[in-house]
Amino acid sequence: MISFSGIRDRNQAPRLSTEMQKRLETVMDLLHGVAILTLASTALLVAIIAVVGQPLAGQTRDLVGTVRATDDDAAIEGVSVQVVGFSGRAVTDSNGFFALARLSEGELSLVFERLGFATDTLLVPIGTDSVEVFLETSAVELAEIVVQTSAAARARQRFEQSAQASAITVDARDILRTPTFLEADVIRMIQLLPGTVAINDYTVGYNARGGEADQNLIQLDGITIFNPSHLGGLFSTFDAQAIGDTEYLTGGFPAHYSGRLSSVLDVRTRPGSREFGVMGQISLLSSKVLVEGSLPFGNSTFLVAGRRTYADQIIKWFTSSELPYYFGDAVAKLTFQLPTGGTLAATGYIGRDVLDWEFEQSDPTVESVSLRVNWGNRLLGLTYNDWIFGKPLELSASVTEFSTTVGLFPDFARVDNDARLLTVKGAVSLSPGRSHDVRVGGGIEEYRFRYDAGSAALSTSFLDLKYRPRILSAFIDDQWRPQRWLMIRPGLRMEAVGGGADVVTFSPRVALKALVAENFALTGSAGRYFQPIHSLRDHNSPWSFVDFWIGADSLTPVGRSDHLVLGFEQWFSPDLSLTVEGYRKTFNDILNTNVADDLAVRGDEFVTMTGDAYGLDVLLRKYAGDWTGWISYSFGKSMRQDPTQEFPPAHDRRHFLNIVVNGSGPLGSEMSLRWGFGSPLPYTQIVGQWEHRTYRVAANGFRDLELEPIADLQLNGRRYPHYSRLDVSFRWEMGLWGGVAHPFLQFVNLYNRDNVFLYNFDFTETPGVRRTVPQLPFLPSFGMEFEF
Amino acid sequence: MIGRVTLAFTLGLLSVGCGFGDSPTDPTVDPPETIVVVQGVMRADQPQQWILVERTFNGTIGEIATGLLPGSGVAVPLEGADVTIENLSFPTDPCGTNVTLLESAGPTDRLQPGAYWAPIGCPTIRAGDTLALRVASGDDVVTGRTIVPGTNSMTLAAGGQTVAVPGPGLEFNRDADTLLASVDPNGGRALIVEIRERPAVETLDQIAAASSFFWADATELTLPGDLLDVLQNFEDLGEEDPRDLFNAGRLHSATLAYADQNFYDQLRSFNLEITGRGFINNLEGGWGYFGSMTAAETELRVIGDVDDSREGVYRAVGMVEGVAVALDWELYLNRVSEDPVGGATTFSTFLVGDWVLGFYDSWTTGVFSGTTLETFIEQPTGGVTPEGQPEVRRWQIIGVLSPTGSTTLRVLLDSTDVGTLTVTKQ
Repeated sequence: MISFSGIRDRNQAPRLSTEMQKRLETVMDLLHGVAILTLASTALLVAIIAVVGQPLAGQTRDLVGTVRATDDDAAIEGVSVQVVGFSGRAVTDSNGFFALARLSEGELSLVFERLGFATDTLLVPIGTDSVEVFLETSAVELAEIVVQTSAAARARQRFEQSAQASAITVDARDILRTPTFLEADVIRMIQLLPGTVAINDYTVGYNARGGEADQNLIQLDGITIFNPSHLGGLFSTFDAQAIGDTEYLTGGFPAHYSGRLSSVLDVRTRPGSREFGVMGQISLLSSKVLVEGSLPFGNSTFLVAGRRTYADQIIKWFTSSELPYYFGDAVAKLTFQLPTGGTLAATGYIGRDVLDWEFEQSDPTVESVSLRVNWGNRLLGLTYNDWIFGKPLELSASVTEFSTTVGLFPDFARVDNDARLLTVKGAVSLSPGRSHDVRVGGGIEEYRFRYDAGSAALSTSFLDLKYRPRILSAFIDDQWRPQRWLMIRPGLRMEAVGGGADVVTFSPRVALKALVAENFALTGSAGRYFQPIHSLRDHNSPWSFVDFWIGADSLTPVGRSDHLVLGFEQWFSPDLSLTVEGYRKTFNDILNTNVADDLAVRGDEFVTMTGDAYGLDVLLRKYAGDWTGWISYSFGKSMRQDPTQEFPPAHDRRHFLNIVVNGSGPLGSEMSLRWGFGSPLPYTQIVGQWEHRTYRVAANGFRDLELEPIADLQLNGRRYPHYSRLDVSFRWEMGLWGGVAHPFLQFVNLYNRDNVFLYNFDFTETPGVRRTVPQLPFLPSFGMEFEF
Repeated sequence: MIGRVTLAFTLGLLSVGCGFGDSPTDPTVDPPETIVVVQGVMRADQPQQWILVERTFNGTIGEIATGLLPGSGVAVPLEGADVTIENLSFPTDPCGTNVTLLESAGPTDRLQPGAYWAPIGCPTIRAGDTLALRVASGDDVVTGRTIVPGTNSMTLAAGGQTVAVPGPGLEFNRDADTLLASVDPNGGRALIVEIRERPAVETLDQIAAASSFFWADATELTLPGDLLDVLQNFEDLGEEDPRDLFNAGRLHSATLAYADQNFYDQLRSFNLEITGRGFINNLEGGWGYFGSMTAAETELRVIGDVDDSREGVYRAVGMVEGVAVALDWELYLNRVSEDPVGGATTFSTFLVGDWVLGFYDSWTTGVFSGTTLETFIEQPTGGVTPEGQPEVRRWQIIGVLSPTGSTTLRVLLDSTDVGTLTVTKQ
């Protein structure tokens, strides 16, 4: 099987001597340079190949190709490519790419199969080394069930062919249909899957199987995004219309993933269609437009999408007031089909939240005072897939950055935070099509975190912190099928973490699947995971505006987690599956923010914690038919231990049930309904308020005060009430100016339950009062998607 | 048919949901145990030390007192506590091993429940000394310690001049200079600078209210002359224009202090509204802080560039209430108009000379409408108002000011003409 994706991970190891550190640094510098040279050489090679147009071939014949859908030219992942009369077989990756090695030199007959598409056969003449295939989308009759979704095909394919447990494929269509707040959002949908806890309606942050929100590896086309949210977490950075398929792994993920302890969310941007098309959406939140089509040169496509909130503009046009906030983002993807049949893809993203609050100043001769806050992500990545020297190869390079600036201007105070990651990585599959599918790879990740706070006016620096962990990694991952009914996926990842941490970590991983019956499998996985970067957030707080990332160094440890997952998967019919998984996780050297840290002291920004989590996840999913959707139930218990006490983290939700149903609705609509129930989350009791007084030196007395609450010393010792919410959406389809329009109507929190966001205590009243700050109330919204 | 079923299902869920839709109410809360709150700053430069001891709000008392403390009262004072301070570094302190602080031992105008005063001059406080506080009330015992910071020198520098603090004042051009506050510390952690305009008469409450407060974890702090004081009354930004920190034509006071770790910790930390955590509590058995600092004050005479014909030095002579008066005015237009009305321009001016009730050395503000001037001179009578405030007399001066030659201005008291001034540009 050929699959191209990321690299990374972490391990544990002895601390190095100074001499070894120097050597390691030297080696890493050298390899860093080698990797860059390798990538540059590869790019040059690709260019030469493109010019000369001569594919590499040996005595036998190699064949590469791409599979696309006839209706929208979109690349199709998961297509089985079988050579008739030959043992060679491949499966297309997320770019629709496949490669077959050492085929006979004669004419070949290839069979392309995937659920949801009409099976097709292609005769490949002698001398042809690359092909491009178009499959027709169609309803496929299977056991009298009409299968319409590609998610079913991929899920069944994974069931039959992959040992990987704890993996869920999210279909783009599901993302668009699932009701949510104002706009379709992939992370909002992830929050409805088993093992996943969203601690409130206001954040797209989530916790996977007892892990922290910063332990989720979130990637766009394999490129890490540090803070994937807008408006303090209310919306994610991902434009749902630009997204293809999304893979979500809640544990036991394989050796090529690294850098986080708890989960992987791999969001894939759609390659652009060959036919020029425009689609967009107008909602109460924003307007967005997506344009895609073929580029005039080469065999290539593009996709560009952008959106912007417009409440600030509307308020400015129609009132005398100003809303000093907006956010916008844009994503672009270019995909080049190379003459060799390989692909070169480039993904770029930029998003920005801007708050520019200029205080009114009546005297025009004086520069006005303004509070300016802007934050956002930028990323750029290149991925090259091809067949070189007889092996499928993937090389990629990317840079991703999250930056924040908070300033009171002119020059009174400013805080800058910049988190950047440069990655170069590569992987090669050594034996595709055999019982062993061995994949080896490696890479370099270089993190750069910078915090700079000061006042130019006062010529004072409050804080100047830098973290620069560099990680050199290598992995080997084997998908081994010793028997038809048994799949084993052992893997090992090694990482050398420099930048002061100077440790070498080893992460053994294994996944196992036993197909006990045609439709029943026992599953299991285990692994060790390391995380060299941490987001410092108060684990007692229900909300974090942005993450404060720091990296491993001589003072900051590398976090570690061990996973054990056991379960089973049952297919009751071709469109109905049940997955049950129990898990146990341990956490070591994870960090909680130290509220008493001293800005002048390095290493006291955090306190280290250990943790423990176990639970059971159940997913009953119906992929096709009049009704589709899923029921997910999670039981989980999570605890943390810091130097002073043991406490449940803020996301310790013991029971969580989500029911998502999609089907036909009234008035010819397509209806989607979601009901969620969550058992109480913990919070820390407030035990009083005090008057924090302002001391005036000249008067030797106090004047003015802030009334501040005082929390109980026992963290998270109380629980909020349970959570529940019902959302419904209706979506219609109609013709519009030669295109298709989808007006939609959504109701969030239909029964207007006051789910508790937090409690506010006021002990200056007699008697004291506990007030509820609620989560999202009943909110109707509407909008329209369009496509031409 | 499917649509109807869907609708029925939705309505069914809705009806079920009515139960789930019950909203939590905002209940009253049983009063938790109170916590003893102590806030105090020991200062070698002060003749008498004092400590504020309160309790937390727990829903039994709902009043929040405001105003300068001590003197204006607090909402939840802890009365009758045993409060002692011991200088651990000076066992032979002539004040005794444990100095007892009493609510009744303070100045009469600053007595209030919860404010405990030490005897004058006690305990002995020297740089580097460790002071230990103990507050006991019933089962509650709160303890804390502070190490008193010292300084080898504190200075202010601007425009090529450097002066020691305390010491003679410093002239400071707000349009050209940057004020540099420096300290050569002996222990301690944070530099604090307070700047305030100093009128002819000021009360402690006015001093506290007028002070703009800057601090840094450093031994130097610079304040540009044109700094807008956005931090003072920050919540009013957008509704009121920010004021200049320094205004030419006015006397200012600069207070420098160097504080210990405890005071620095309470400056930089606070409990977040959401979590109730964040404040760095350095006390045992209670909440708050017990800190120390060394502080001194000096005068700043703030001037500015003269770039308007109305600015400059004037000589004003005349008879007011039958008294011969002669004042030198040094007048500057304000950079930021304060409460401008109808395009008027505000100004500030130093006033030095003989006035009705004797020698006068202060400053005042006024308004130009074109060249028509209106200003007031306030002079203390030496008496006290029924409210206990210093009594002042207030004369109004109006007329057209010639920016080049001489002109005569009217002087009014309670809207009655009481004299004239001939004002000549120098």
